[in-house]
Amino acid sequence: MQKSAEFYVNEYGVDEAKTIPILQAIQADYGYLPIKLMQEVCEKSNIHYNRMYGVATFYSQFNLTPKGKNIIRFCAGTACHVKGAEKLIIAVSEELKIRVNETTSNGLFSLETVACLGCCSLAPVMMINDKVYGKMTIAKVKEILMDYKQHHGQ
Amino acid sequence: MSKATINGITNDFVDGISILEAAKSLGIEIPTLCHIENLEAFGSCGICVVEIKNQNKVVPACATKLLEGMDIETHNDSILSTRKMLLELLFSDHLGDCVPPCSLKGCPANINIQGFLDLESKGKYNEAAALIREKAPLPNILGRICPKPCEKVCLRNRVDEPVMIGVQKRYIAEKEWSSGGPFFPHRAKSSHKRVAIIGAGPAGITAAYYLSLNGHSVVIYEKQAKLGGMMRFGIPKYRLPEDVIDTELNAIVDKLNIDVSYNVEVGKDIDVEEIISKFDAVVFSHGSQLSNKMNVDGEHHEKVIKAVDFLYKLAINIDVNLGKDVVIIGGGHTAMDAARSAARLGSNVTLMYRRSEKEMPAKDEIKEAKDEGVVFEFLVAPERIKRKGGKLYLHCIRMILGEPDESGRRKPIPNSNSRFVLEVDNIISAVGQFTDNSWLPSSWLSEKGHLQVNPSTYQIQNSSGHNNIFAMGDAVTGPDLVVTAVAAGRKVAASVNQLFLGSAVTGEEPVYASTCGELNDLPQEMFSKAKKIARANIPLIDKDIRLTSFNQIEESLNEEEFREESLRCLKCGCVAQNDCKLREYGYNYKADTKKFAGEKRKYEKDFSHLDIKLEIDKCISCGSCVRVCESIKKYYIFGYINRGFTSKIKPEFNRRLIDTKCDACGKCCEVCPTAGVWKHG
Amino acid sequence: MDNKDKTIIRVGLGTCGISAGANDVYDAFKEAIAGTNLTLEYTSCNGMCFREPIVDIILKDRIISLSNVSCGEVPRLINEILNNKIIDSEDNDFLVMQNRIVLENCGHINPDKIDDYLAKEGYQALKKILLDILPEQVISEVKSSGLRGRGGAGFPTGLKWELARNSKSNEKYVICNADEGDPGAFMDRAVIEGDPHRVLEGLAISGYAIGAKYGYVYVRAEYPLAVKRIKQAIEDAQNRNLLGNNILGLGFNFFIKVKEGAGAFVCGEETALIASIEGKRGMPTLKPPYPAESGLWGYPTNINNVETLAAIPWIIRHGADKYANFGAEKSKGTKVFSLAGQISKGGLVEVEIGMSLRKIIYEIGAGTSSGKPVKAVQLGGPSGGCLPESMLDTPVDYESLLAKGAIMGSGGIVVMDVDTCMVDIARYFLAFTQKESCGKCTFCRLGTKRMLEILERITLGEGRESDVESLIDLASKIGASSLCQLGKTAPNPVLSTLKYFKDEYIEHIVNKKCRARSCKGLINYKITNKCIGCHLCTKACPAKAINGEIKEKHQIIPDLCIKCGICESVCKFEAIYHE
Repeated sequence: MQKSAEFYVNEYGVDEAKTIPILQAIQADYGYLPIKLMQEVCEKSNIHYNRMYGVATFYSQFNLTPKGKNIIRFCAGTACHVKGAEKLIIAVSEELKIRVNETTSNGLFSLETVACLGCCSLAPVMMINDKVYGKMTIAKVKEILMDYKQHHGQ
Repeated sequence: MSKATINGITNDFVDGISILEAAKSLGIEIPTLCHIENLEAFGSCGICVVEIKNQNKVVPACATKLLEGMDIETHNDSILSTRKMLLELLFSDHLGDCVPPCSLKGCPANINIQGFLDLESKGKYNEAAALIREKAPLPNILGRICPKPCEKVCLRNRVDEPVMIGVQKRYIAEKEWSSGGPFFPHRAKSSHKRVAIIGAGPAGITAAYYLSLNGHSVVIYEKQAKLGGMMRFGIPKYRLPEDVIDTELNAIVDKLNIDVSYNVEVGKDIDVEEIISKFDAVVFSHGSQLSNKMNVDGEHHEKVIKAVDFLYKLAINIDVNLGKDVVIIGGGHTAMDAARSAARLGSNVTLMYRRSEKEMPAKDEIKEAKDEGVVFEFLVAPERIKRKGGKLYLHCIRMILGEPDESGRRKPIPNSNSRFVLEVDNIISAVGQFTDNSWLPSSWLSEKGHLQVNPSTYQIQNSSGHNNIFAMGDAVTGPDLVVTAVAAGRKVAASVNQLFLGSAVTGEEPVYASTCGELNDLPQEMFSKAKKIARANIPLIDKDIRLTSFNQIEESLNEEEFREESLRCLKCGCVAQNDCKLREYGYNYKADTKKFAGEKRKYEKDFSHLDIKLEIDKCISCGSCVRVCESIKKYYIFGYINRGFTSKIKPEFNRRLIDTKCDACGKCCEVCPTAGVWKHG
Repeated sequence: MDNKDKTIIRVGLGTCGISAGANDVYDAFKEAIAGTNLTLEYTSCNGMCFREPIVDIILKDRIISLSNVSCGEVPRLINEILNNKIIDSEDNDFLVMQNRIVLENCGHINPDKIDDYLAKEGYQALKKILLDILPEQVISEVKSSGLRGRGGAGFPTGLKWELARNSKSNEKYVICNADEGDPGAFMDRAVIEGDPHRVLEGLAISGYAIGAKYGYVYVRAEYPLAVKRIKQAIEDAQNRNLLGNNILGLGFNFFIKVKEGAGAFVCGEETALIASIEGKRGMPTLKPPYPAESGLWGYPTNINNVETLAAIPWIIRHGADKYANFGAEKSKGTKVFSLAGQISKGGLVEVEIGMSLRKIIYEIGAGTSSGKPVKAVQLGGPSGGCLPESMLDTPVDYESLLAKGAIMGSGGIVVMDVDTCMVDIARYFLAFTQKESCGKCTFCRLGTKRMLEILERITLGEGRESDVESLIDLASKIGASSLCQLGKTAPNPVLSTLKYFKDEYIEHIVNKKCRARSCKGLINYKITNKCIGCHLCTKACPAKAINGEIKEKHQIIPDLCIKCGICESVCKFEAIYHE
């Protein structure tokens, strides 16, 4: 269910301090931050346009364009880097025919990297949506992706 | 009150003030970019760093309160080098040309081209001429003969064709003359200093012009009976009519009280030492008139003529009888002048050049020469000349191009299977000139006989302790463009002036500017909005007349046509070029604008708003516009977006400024240290 | 407890366990215990990440710990439990050298059950101070414990509290900084996931001490499980009147809210964190004024790291002296380290401050996972530095590490063996900080970018002779003149690698050689005669750079090869190598 600007303002409040929670809620509901909706929130609250947009483009959690149904995030932490995360990213890029920060043409997957997920002992680590996968190898990644293609397509 | 020390001065300061304010109260200026009076300190730019010696800390002066006991240094070596690096970093992400490339990289004399075209388009011809004369006192002559290196770097090359620049100088001068010009600025009060200049060519005349304007009295010693040097005796009249030379040069010597001793050859008629002893400074600009040899057998035959001699005779109206078939050897402007002159005398002319068309220095005239019947033989070199009967037999060999040589041009290599012989009546050799320095003290010369000068001040080196002897122009460089000689003349005048003022002789400061990069490397989006407008064409006189006379070949355009042409200028120079803190500090701190060349912000302008213009590519992210708009206007139009290197300052939601509620109050423009945001008009 | 006689199966459900498949294991047990008298329970991570998924079997008389449990094993294990044949696979070496204060409950209690925490003397410290200790006395107790900020800088905690207490204001705030951003550090996540009430109790005590009524827990967005558990804990604590108005009827009002970060490393910096809570971009402001004078919404604010606050209840319960018995001269107590990288036994280690790196890596962590020699240890994340193997005897305390060019930081220890290129590591960190730079000050925004570009060209084999000098010049000026700690410390990974591994830089620049064989611009992949032409590599190669008929030896086309190394890792015959 997609909610209106009014809803977010009523739910979270009108002060600038509510900018991030409101954007987080919109992101959770819409999967991205529609510009028009952000502007409407500004009009119904005390949040200024420039501040709202500044925040929306500052934090890596937010995105201004829709993402794929499944978001693959590779941990780019030190331990994962040392353990060869880059190879996995290249392999997935190849598998899905997209680069980092892109979405597959069928809208099924988006590929991203993320600052450390804090599972360093299980490096290299990958996260799909909210699920974290540790001790990844190229074979395991391909297997998991196959599973998503088959079961999380619709 | 708090007692603290700044740059060794201990003082009592009002409590609660910043180090910046405290320093200011002592008359110590600390540079700032993001500091705005009466607004809370922000500390983003970092240029105001100072060192607190007794805390071993580097802090921003704008945002650090002065506290009791602080021992502060604002300008020590480490602080200066920090500020220099900071400016270099800012330049590394600042995409803009302070000065347009035509003036900065194209014109050796750095003439303000954008400026004079703008004045011309407004019909302000006298002002335009005066602007040109700030850098070069010969607008009419240059407007006719300059090969226009400015046009080669004109950004319009990337849109359609370069703006016509060269000819406009001539037109501006003609308009000025027709209203009573040429006009010169007032001479300064007499300095009672005397300068001798040896040679009245473009370098000498130019130096005389600027020295005289500065109040010094100038005497020129000229070997010939008339002014102009190679402009008169080397350049054919069809390119530069005599009356133009007379009017332009006579006006300078007459109006500026420049004394010229004609028909005096220094070194022969008067001793060099004598001149040195009589004047406060001496400037040598005696040109480069001796011809190089071709180094082929048979070149000493009387029917093998040197181009310099040939052109000199034509200039002083001595008849030259050329045969029917003439070969010119060489690829420079002298070779071209000789070829086209020979064609006018009715000969069949072939120009022979050992490299290809692409390498040819005078390639700008090839088309016109071909129209006049000159035949070109590229990649051919002479091997020897034989004489049989009344004819010359020129033995030639074809060349192929090898690897680039030290001049950067590909070196021609003989192809031994390609020899051939031409039967001709005359051969004119134009393979370069060199300078006769035999009459100068040998200690001034290098082993090869060249004059050695300091490249910044033009003072002659090894002149046994003299700091008042200068040399310039072709005499030093060998044959070069007139505009290059003019530039050198002006720079020498600056050095001499420094000498006379008693200040350190450092020469003219080179133009300090940030640049967007080389013409061909610039991003295409820079030009996507420029409309194509056809370049005007200067009509040439009838070919028949061209082939039978030395009449000036270029005609002119009418006022409207010139005006439209001047409006083709893209105005690449920055609106803030004389009011930019980044440029000012960069110059003061000797920041190398290219030190940290790397990824740069993209070309991005927002000219949607009628009054307020945004050049995001010139923004240095100091945040002043954001803060002033928020705190003074409460409008919240500008904001930071993104993070890291990609962070930028832009209008809300990345909108065009016209789509925001900006009411053009202009506060942001007042605080912007660059041309990131500026008010139109 | 009424479960006393029952056998309890307890699955570790921390994020690390879950990423190893612990949720599936939990579900498998749930299914398998149906019809038995076994009870299923969960806890969070006990720090032994290398053993995940971990399942503890709590028997009447002892606890049996199982490692690397997979779903397939579950029926067999149930069988063994029921038949009393279960065998312990606990790894005692890992725990025996540790002193667990902050981690004392991690892996032992259910983090979602406040009673589990209460059973471990939970909230006793809060109750104790509310009953009869004045705020000033709490502060002096914390001061004499010698506790220093565990987030990185090591500022004495008691002193920080005192500054905030002494700021005159009607309103004050305390904030728990759980924006654990250092890549390679995960102790804060583990503590919140495993023992959230301990953090709340610590925060409440800090609020009491400085006189604040409101507290925030600022958790980073990448830790969804931690967010969930801390929110649950707040709710439970409020329901028990351990938070809220008139706590335990003792007159102290204290409320805690969770603020979720949205993904920005710089928000670990105090002033940026405050800006973020205020709903702004996380752009640091100049200090002074410090948050203790003017922080959240301009009010005096005290910010402590998770681990710092988690130590507080223990200190109050056991006394400052007991805490100060642990540790080194100037660095008292214990510190949690996260051991990761090329290490056999990676996980969380809580030891007395001052233990040597060698002991931590070899005796607790059991050396490198590859068996190859340690080349370097990275401490302190992007603000820290790399120490070479020869410095492993350095005691891990604030001063000793700083003197060697590293920092304690938040406690991340990433072990690197000889296959890691130190120039690449420097490049990696600069890429990280550059991306995370808030963009406000010039030196950080542009200086780190130019350093990164230099490092990139060195690793590509395009380094210039002057590059080392340029790096040092940039590093020293960025370090001295950046606005905040992110910028000031950003050059550290470059400076420390230049200090100890300069010859590797020179090799890259002059000899165009990467001794770790890891910089793509300087290596080549080759196929040996061991190749049987199975086509695995051809299929895996993303650049289509491998040619060859099936069952014939394959060839790598050098011009197409992007040197990703995927071929080498998929080859089952060790027929591909790089040099």
